[in-house]
Amino acid sequence: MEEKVKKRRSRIRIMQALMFGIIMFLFFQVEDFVEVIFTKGDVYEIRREMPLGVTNGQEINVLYINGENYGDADVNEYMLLDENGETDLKYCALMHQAKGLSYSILLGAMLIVAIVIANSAIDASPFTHKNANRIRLIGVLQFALAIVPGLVRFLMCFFKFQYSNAELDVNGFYMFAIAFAIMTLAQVFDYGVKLQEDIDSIA
Amino acid sequence: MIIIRLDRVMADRKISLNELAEKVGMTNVNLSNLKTGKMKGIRFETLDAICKVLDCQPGDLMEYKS
Repeated sequence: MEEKVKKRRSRIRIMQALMFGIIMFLFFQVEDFVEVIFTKGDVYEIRREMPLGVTNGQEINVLYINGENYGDADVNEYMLLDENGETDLKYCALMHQAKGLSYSILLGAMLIVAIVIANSAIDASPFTHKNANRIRLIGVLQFALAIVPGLVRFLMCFFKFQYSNAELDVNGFYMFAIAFAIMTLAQVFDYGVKLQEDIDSIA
Repeated sequence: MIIIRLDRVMADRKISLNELAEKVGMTNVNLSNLKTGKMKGIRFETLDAICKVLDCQPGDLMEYKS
């Protein structure tokens, strides 16, 4: 009995630690986003460089902020021009961060709901109305994951540069398929709840 | 309609809900629900255990009324 209680407590602690980790990750993502907002525009720079170890003359665009390397810069993300024919690297970085942040928030929310479901199923049956609704919520968040980050980038780009593009690629269809599968699972869970209620009503 | 007469047999045998639940291996909640007719059914295994503890017949525990 004591072992069971110990095991249960350790599982709860692991889940609490996971939740804390997700929340801290989201916090740091928000911190990065806020940092970009308050950084001056003139510290952003795109340099053409040869990657390390490459000798064939291949060059890539690299984003530098305050002289620090911040990784590869996609030309479609950072070379957009406004109506005056000028680029705004800070706004491009903000767009990139905003897209990443919206991905992180939605993914984090999905993981937290999944942890709550797993937590509720430690000592009791997982087939409850609340869990069925939580699975439905994960499906909705998955749909949002397929749409929102792209939409955020699209709108921010359109607002500043009077131009924007969006594409529905295989990844988008894949996310929609996953969302559909999750919603179907929620329906299966609804049936599981009915079965559970039937079993619980038999002594 | 099946009416559960478990409370009568329990009173005759002078056994409490907690004691019966412990001997049968059920939770108090489930046994209380059974006693008050909130359950939709009963397993033979449970019926067997209750009859053993209360030393009665299954027919003593339930009654049919149309």
